[in-house]
Amino acid sequence: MKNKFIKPALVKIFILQFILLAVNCNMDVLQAFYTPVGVNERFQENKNLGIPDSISLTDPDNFTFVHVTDIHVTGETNPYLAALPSKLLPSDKFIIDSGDLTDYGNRKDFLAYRDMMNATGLPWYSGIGNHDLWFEGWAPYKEVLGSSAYSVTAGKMRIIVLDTANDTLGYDQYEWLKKELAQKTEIYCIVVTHYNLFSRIMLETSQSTEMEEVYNMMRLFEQYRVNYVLMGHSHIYDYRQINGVSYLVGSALKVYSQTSPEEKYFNRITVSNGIFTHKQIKF
Amino acid sequence: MQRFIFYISSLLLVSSVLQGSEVHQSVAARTGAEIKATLGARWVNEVKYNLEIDNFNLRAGGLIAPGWSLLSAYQLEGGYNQLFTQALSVHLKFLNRAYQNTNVADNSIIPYFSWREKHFEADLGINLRFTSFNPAYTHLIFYYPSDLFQPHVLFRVAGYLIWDTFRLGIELKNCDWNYAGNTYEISYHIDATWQSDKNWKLLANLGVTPSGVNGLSVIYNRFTFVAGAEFQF
Repeated sequence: MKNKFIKPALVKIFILQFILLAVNCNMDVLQAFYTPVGVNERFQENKNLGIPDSISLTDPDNFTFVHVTDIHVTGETNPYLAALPSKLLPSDKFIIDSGDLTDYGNRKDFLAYRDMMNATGLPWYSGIGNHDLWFEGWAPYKEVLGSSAYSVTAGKMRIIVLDTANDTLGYDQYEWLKKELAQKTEIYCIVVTHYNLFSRIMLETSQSTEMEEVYNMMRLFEQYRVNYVLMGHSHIYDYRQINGVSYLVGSALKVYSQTSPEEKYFNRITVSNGIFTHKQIKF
Repeated sequence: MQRFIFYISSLLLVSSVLQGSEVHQSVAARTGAEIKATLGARWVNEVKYNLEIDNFNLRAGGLIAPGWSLLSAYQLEGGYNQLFTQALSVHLKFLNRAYQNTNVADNSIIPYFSWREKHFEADLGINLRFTSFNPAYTHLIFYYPSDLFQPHVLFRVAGYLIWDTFRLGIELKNCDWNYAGNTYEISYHIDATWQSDKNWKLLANLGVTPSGVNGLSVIYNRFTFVAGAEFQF
């Protein structure tokens, strides 16, 4: 009799706590079950959306660029992104952001993000993250920023930005990626993905789930000599080199995240006569 | 190593029969389809052999799945049943999965606990996965390279309704006979079995796996259906 009462009560308490926690954290709980516009639909819509301009570089074999990630603009601001212009060097030629531009996918935050990125004075290329999809964020995202997956050039470098906000490429985008890599003529290549491809620790909540898809991507990156794969999502810096390809996860610039305000970094990637290196730069 | 395990298990089986131990064996086979929205479809064929001698348990199994790219897997497992209580058992599993088109292989060491009751089952363990990118070592189950190591929590929770010889259940899990997934790779399954007579059991399992669970951006991109039979002797 006691068990019959306690077990259903515990289940109800657990469900209630989950809902309260989710609401309190402003989580879009419904998307734990279904995303209204999935990656395949977004990829089809991308065909009618704008993409950032390609750029030429005066010395395409010697330059630096900046990688930021998981900025999570909230309340129309982010102090680290606002401070980025003061951290830039003359050698920095563009900025790459690997997603989670906003926390809740609302239009005002996307506009604030765009204004802060424009204030850096550099060309910038951003990808979409899972948070950008929350609360039907795709509609303002595409209105303010355009396509979620695209390919541009910066001098001798091909930059391929992937839409992994649903933790998978989807068939159409995967075929497009294969084609983009096979047809590229540039000698350098950077791929940008929001979801981190590997997990570092056992209970890491951020990780790609479909490892066979990851292995297929990794073989493509290896085959077509991708220099760096720039990632985010996990919020914690990670770097590893596998079969000649560098996989770099940036530290989050979200104000309230796992890292303290004293531990906020962006990555500066240096290209020096075809040799790629990177360094974490503290805010 | 495989030969060593085979010889040891054969020795155990023969000596147990001679000494009058309680021995149970079963062979199960399943066939069906796995559809991955991004990559393609496969025809999945699996076998599993189970040997129980008193409280000791030995399992071996394999999978071959032709389709958009050939996938093969095999496993070896040892365990001890009725640990402290009737329902609890402890296991150590070795699993190799080889993906032919990429020449990538996952070798997992999986220690786990199982809890088995009539209407409820649960497994909880750790998937210590070592990934090899070297085609020369693709099928070596005890090869643990340092190319890529990822530790994951492994789990399976199942609840069942039972009508006489028919059992229908719901499973939440990130693992299967020949699969050990990532921590947040949660699959939802409907599992059905029918004990048609003393020796034969018919099996069917329908599953769907979403991606993006850990980011609250879910879409459903993997579907599986397998059916088969188990012979107990």
